[in-house]
Amino acid sequence: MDSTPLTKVAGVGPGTAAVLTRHGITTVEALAAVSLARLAAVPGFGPIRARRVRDAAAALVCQGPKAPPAPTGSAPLEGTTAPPRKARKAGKSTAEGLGREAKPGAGGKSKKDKAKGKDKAKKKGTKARKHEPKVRKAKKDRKSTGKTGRPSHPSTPERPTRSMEGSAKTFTADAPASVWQALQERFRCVREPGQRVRRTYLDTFDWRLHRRGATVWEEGKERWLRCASGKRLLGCRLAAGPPPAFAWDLPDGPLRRWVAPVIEMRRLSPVVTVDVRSQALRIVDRQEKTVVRVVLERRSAIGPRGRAIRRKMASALRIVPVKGYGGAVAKVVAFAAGELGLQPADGTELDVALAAIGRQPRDYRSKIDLPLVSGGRTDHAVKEILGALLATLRRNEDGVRRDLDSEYLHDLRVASRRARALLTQVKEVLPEEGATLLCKELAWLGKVTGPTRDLDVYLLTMPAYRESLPATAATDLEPLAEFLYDRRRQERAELVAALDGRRYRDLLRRWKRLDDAPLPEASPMANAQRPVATVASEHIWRAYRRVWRRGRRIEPDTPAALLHRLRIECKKLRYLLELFRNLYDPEEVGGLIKALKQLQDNLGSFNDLEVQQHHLREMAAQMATAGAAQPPTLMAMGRLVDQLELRQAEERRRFADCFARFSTRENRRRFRRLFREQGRAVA
Amino acid sequence: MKVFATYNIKGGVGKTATAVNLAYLSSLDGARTLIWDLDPQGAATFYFRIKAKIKGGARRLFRGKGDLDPFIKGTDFDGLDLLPADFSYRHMDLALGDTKKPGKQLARLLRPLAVEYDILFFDCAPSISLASESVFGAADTLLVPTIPTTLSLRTLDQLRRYLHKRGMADLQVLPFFCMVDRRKGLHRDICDSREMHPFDFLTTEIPYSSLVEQMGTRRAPLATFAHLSRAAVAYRALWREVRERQGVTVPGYDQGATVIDEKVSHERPAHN
Repeated sequence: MDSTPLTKVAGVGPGTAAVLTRHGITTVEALAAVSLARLAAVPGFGPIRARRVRDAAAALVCQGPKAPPAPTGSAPLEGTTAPPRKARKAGKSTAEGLGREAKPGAGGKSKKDKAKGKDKAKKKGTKARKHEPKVRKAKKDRKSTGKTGRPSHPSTPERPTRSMEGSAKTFTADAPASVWQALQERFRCVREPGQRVRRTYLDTFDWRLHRRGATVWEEGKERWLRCASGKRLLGCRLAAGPPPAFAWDLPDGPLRRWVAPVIEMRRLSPVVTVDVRSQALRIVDRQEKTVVRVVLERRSAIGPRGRAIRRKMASALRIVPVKGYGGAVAKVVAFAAGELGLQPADGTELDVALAAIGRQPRDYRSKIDLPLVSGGRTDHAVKEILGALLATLRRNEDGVRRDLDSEYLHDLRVASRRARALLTQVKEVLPEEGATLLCKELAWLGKVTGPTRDLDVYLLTMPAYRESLPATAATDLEPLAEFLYDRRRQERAELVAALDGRRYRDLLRRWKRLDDAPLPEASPMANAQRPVATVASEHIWRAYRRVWRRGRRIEPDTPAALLHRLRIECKKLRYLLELFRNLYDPEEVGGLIKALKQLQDNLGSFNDLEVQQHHLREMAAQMATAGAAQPPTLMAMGRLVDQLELRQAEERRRFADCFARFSTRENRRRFRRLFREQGRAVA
Repeated sequence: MKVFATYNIKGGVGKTATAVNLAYLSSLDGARTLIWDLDPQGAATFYFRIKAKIKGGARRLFRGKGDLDPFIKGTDFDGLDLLPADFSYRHMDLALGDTKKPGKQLARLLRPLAVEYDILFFDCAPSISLASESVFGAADTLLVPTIPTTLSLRTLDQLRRYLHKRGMADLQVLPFFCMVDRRKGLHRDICDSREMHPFDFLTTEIPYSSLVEQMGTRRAPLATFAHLSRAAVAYRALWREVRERQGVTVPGYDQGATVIDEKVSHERPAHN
C-alpha cells in the first residue's frame, strides 16, 4: 500500500523498472531515497540520469504534503524492509520512554541538562549506573534513525515557517563545516535533507518596508511571499506569473492587509536575491521528538537586474526554537556562543546581503536631510541643499521614464518645486542670472509634468470614486477610467519626450553649473555671507506671517481663490521649514510641520475637490463629443461631481477648525520663539 | 479561529487518528493549528512524542486566568502545536464542577488563543459528561468518526437527542464513516444507505487500515510515512470536504495549495 509502481516515475519504463527491481529498488519511495552513487552504478544509469530519475521519484513522492524523503548520505532502502524493524524497535523504546525508570536515564549527552539533573537527584542514587547501557542503546537508535530517517515534514523553505522563525537566533559561522561537525557530535540529532532556495527581497524605491522594520521576500519554487516584522511572520502563496508589483496584485489575506497600507501605491521591486544552500538538523530528545532545529546556510548575494553581481556572504547558523522547549534552545545557543565561539549575526540577512553587494539600505528618501551649520554662510547652505535636490530629482528620472509607479514623478516634481521655492523665497543669495533662469526653467518643468501627475491622482482615487457611488453606477464609471488611462498614455508620451528633450538637458546643465560653480569669497549678494540660521529664520518667519494673515481673514463665504492662495503660501512655508529643519530643535520644528501638514491636507483636499469637479465636467464634455461615453457613464460622472461638491463643502466647514489647530497660541509662540527671537539672537 | 472537536461517545473509533491527521493537513495548508488533547489516555500527545504532562493538572488550567501558552508544545511539524494531555484529565468533570458555568470554561480558555491559531482541534475522550458539554460549548463543529455498525449508529442517535435536549441543536455535527471494511456486508449496507440516517454524513469514508494503527509505532501523522496509502488519501479528502463545508480559508490556501488525488476521493474505494 505504501508503494507506487516504479513506472509512474518520469523516465522509467517497464524495462528500466525491471533493472531497478533487480538491483533491489522496488518502489518509488525506495528510488527517491537511494544514494546517487548507488543509482549511478545500476547499468544504464550515469550520474546525470541518476540524478534526474531520483529527483523525479522524489517529486512524485513529495507531491503534495509528503516529506522530501532522501536523507543525505548513503541511505538504505526504506519503505520496504526498514520500517517494520524500526517500528518494532521504536515501539519498545518508546514504551520505555514513557515508563518512570527511563525518565532520569540521561545519557552522557544530556548530563548537562539541569532540569533532568534535578530530576535525577530526586531519585535514588542506584539509578546512576543503570543508565549506562541505555546510553549505548540510545546512540544506536539515533544512528538508525539518522540513517533511515523518520520521514520529516517538509519544514524548511517550502512552507511558511510562521511560529518559530521569528524568534530564531542567528550566528555567523565562518567555518561552517567544523561547526556542523561539532553540533552533530555534541547533540543527539537527525539530519534533514539539504535544500537549495533563493530568497528575493522586495521593497519600494523609498524603502518603506525597511523603514518600518519589516522585510518581505519571495522564496522557493512554491513561491511563498513572506513578511516579517518583529516577531510576526505572515505568508501567502503567489500565483504563477510575474512577481507582484503592487499591493493590489497580492492575494488577499493578512499579508496584503499588513503590507498595503505601508507601501500604498508604490511598486515592490527586488532589492537583492540571496542564494541559499542549507543543511538542516533536528535536535531530538530521547523520544526522538524534535526540540530544536538547526539550519546552516551557505549563502551568496545576487544583485538585482541592472547590477547582476554575485558576492559570497558569511554562512549563517540559525537556531530555530520549537515552542515549549526553551531549555533545549538555550543549551544549543549557549553551545554555539560558548564552545563554538560564534558571533551573533549583525543585522538581518537582508542587511548582510545588501552589504555584500555594496548597497546601502534606505539609500533613498525624498526628504532632504542635510547637516546644516547654523553659523555657516547662507550661500553655502543653499548650494548644498540645491545639490541634494538635484540628486533627488535625477534619482527619480529612471522610474519616471520606465513608469514604475506614480511616486517617482511625484518626488521629481517635489524636488523641482522645492528648489524653485528655495530660489524664489530666499533671494539675494546666489548669482542673480543663474538663479532666475533656473527658476523659470523649473516652472516649465512643473508645467510639463503637471498633467500626468493630475491623471495619476485621478487614477489613484478611482477606487474611492467607485466606492462613493452605488455598485451599479460604479460600473458605469469604467469608461471614465478608460478615458483617463488613454489620456495618461498621451500625456506621458509628451512628458517622456520633454525629459528626453534639449530643454530639460539644458535645465539640468544649468542647475549643475550653479551647483558646481565655486562660490566667491566675497559675494555681492546681500544675504550670501550672512549666517544661514538668521536668513532662514527671517524667511520662515515672513512666510509664516503671510500664512497667518491670510488664514485669519478667511470667512465661511470667502471665495475659493483666496483659499487657493493660502494653500500656496502654506506650501512655501512647508518647504522652507523642511529644507532648514536641521537648523532647529527637531522636535519643535517637527511639531510645527505636523500641524501645518494637517492644515495643508484640508486645503489640499478642498482645492483638489474643486479642480476635480471642474475637470470632470470638462472630461464629460470631451467624452460626449468623442462618443466615448454613454448616458449612464455621464450620469454616473454627474453623481460623482455632486459627491465631490458635498465633500468640498465639508472640507470648507472643517477649515476653521484646522486653521485653529494650526494657529494655537502654543504654535504661534513657538513660531515666534524659533524664527524671530532666536533668529535675532544669532544675528 | 475555527474550532473542531473529534468526538464520539464510543471509544476506539478513530477520534485521535482523525484529529492528528486532519490537524497535520490543516497545518500543511498554512493554517496555524493547535491540537488540544483532552483525553487522559494522551494518545494524540503520544503520537507527537510529547510528554503528557500539564503542571498542576486540569484544576490549574481551569482555575487560572486562562493563559495556556506556557503549556503549549511545538510538534515536529511547522505550524502545528499541541496542548498536551495530562492524566488528571480523568477528573476533568470534577475540576469543571468546581467552577462557575462549567459549560463555558473551555470557550473562555480558548479566547486568547484566537490570535495565535487559525484552527483548533479538540481530541476528546469518549463518554458524555460535563467535559464533553464544555467542548460542545467551545466547538464550532463536531467531527464524529463512526464505525458503520448498529451500536455506533445508536450512540450517534444518543448524541443527537442529547444535543437537542440541551438546546445545542445548532452545533454542527458532521459524522463520517471510519474504519470501514467493505468486505463486511454490514459495513457496505450502512455506508451505502447513508441517506436513510437522520444525520448528514460526510461523503468521504475512512477505510480500515493497519497503517492507521501503525501511527502508534511511527509516532507521526499518516501522511508523513504512507502518503499515498488509501487511508492517507481518504484523510486528505475528508479534510478537503470538511474545509469546504465549513468555509475554512487560510492564507495561501486559495492560491493553489497542492491538491492531489482529486479523483480518488469521490469514487468509492474498491472492494478489497
